[in-house]
Amino acid sequence: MKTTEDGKIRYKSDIVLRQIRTNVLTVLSYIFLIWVWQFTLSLQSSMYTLMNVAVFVMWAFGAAGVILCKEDREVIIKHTKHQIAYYLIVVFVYDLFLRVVVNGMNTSVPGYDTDPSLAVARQFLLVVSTMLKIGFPIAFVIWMIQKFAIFKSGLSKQRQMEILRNVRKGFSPKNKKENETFEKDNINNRY
Amino acid sequence: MMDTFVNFFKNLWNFFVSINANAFWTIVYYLSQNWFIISAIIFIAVLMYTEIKINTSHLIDDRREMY
Repeated sequence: MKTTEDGKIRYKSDIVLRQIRTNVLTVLSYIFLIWVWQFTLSLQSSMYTLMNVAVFVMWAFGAAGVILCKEDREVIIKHTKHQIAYYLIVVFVYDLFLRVVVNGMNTSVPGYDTDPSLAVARQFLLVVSTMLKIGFPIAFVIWMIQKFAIFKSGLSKQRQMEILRNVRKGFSPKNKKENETFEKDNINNRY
Repeated sequence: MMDTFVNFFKNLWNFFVSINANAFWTIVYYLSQNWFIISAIIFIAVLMYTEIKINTSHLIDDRREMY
């Protein structure tokens, strides 16, 4: 806050500037991710549809997780963005490597036959590529399903931990009144 | 006076024609037919909106969006 020559008060806050800066960076990060998505897929041929659907499913699970798991929003957003970025970048880099190696294996020097075991090595590298392309999204979806299991039926994380400690009490998700009764005999509620 | 008025509408019309010539609206139309792209944009918008909310809540120290 400072006073101008007219005697009027003017508020000068850097919070607004920081807010604008972080928001612009956030939007740019998503535009970058969409660009990486399209760029990496433009180099794919037979795996194009699979990878397109995989990234789509990752976005979908990320959005559902952000809506359903309120306490873990920050972690879910960060993990979704990192997983999609690593997925696309790792696939891009591995396929660059694969293209060079597989093309090198196909060429043979005149007068010499190619080693038949090279075909096995080539197939192994191709299978690794496929495992990367399928494994990343499956790992992310499983991680998100674990989150859904924690936050199921609108429970908070604290409540879920209490329920897991009181397994013997017999928790029923439909009868909420019964769950809120304080059990003095339970060792977890004593201190 | 009337000439200027007519020229204004002529330029306005040419403006829309030029947009179509640049294929902008055609691209928008094709994208609007694709449920895959529409739903991907919705998912990304949800994530983006939440991240902006969380960034703001860090700046002004108000965590109601998270808990």
